[in-house]
Amino acid sequence: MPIRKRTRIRGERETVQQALQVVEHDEEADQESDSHDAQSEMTPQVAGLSRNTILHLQHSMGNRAVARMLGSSTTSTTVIQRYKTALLGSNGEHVLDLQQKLNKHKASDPPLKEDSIFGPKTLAAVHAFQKSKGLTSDGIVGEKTWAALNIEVPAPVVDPPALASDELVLTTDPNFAKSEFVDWFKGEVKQHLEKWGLAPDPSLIEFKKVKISGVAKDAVILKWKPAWGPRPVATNISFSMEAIDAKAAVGGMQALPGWAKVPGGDKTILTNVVGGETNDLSVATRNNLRGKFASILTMSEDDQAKALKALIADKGVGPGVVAEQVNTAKIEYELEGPVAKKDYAFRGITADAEEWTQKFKDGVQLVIVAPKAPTVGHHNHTVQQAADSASYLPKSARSVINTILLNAVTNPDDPHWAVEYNTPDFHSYMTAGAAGVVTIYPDKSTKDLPDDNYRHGTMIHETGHTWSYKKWGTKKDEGKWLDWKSAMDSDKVFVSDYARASIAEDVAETIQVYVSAQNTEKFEEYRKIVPKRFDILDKEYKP
Amino acid sequence: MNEATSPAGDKHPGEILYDDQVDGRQWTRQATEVPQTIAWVEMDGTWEAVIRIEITGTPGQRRISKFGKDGAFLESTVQSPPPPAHPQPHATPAPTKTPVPRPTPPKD
Repeated sequence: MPIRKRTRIRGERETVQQALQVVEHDEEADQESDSHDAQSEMTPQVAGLSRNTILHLQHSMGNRAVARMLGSSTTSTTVIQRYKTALLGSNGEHVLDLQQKLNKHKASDPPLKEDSIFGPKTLAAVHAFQKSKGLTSDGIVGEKTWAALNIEVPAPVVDPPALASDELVLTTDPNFAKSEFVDWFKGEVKQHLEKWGLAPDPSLIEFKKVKISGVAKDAVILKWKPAWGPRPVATNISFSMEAIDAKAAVGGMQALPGWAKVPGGDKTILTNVVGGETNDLSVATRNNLRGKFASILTMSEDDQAKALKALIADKGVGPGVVAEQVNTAKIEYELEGPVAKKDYAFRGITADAEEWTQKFKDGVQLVIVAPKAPTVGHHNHTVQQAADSASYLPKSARSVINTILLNAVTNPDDPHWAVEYNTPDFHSYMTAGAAGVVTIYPDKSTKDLPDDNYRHGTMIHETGHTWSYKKWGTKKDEGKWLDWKSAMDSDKVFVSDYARASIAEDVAETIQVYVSAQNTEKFEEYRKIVPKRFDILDKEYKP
Repeated sequence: MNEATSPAGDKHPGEILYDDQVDGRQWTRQATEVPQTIAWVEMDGTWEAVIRIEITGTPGQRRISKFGKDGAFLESTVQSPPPPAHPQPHATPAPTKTPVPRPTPPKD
């Protein structure tokens, strides 16, 4: 703390000139400290002195002394209150003001008691405040400290609350996260709850600001009620409200009196299969249940339990075939070629061909063969499309195939099956053989070949057959086939109706789901629905 | 050479069992009655006789799997999918409805 030098005018004999000299002498010291006895400032141009000179004098001598020195009465000098020094032991209104300001600046934790008495706690707060502002920490509140205290404390930014664990985000889209959209969301949620016999509560939906992943956002929020069933896994709810529908369906199902009569194991299966928020099997199962839920509500408890168990056992509840979007990661590859092949033996025709080599980053290689010129009137996938589909196959599947053949003509077997099944337009799409050849046939009747996802999915399915037969053999009543059968019996549910056709189809359909759903929430949902089969694939198939 | 003989001249055992698990039917055909491509499958340069054909799947999309001697898996063919429903469903879910603001009617 700088040594404080005071200039005192002891009597009126000292001249203003003398005083000014003293002021000049002490100027440096005064700059170091803001603690003064000065209590007021005089108006400028008094007694011929400039404003600055008088201010200097006031700072150093005190107002009263300057007033006396100037020989003027208070009638000719206007004194304006400016600040009052506060220090340990002070009390009064200025100390109260000080304490209030220190609290505003959060200089003390806990806040000071605003009692107008400058005690040790106020002193500590003053020290802390002075340090925080880069002032001399002398504990004396003078002009500079008052000036710093008088700077308006910016209003604290109100930090919105973080999303609570029972809250779901209906939207943060700036186009819709507005109060005028709240009613629309209330209506949608209401519909999805009432369909499952649950009572909505519109007061639980509101537009507010919340912190999501550390960022404050405007959002429409739904507070989830436990009576509606387990809380959806998804926090961000899509406009289709599928996640809400899923858990409300579980809530509605479990609220049925007949639920008590469903065996424990089946309860778990039903909860998982009905409650899946994103997978096709759960969506199809819910759609099936929704169609008959109103009548189930009126049934006896036994019949309700029977109707629920039918969701597991009956054909026609799940999707016809697996058609999940293929989400597994593509394996990078290079396509080399083509190499011309004269008189290549396609299925059903011999024709000139081009051969490409697909080299995958993980070391696997495939050959892709295509006709040099397309057969007139036949439409097939391109070499690039075939290569693209193969890149979605896990290594275990690519390792059991060696060739993708884009056949020059339709399957020569087709006319036979057209007769056997009285289906004139019977048309094969793809063949996977034990020799490691995947054949894709052109279509004569239409250019509308199956889309990318169907092609990817079918290749996963077909190579799944090749993989299972090569790895487990063809005797389905022994070895790993028996393990799979036990898994089917334990899981009870099938991923599609097609999977119910035979154990071989169940393996291929489950593999298709297992590969397609990788890297999505669906994967964990399916794992809950067919856990034993996924356990086998974890060990045997390894994507 | 007839259908009971492979392109390489191998003799077929004679009968093929059709096991239709979609319709729940079974029937047999003589190798001589069916096209050569039904009765034989090429495996790494040799021709394997088809002994059993298993038909699975659904009536709209059958899968035909061929098995040889000792039940060995030979190949599996899937029928083209039925034409997609129109309009074709989106690959990714779309909002069922787009919220439309409801302006409050002005008060008199």
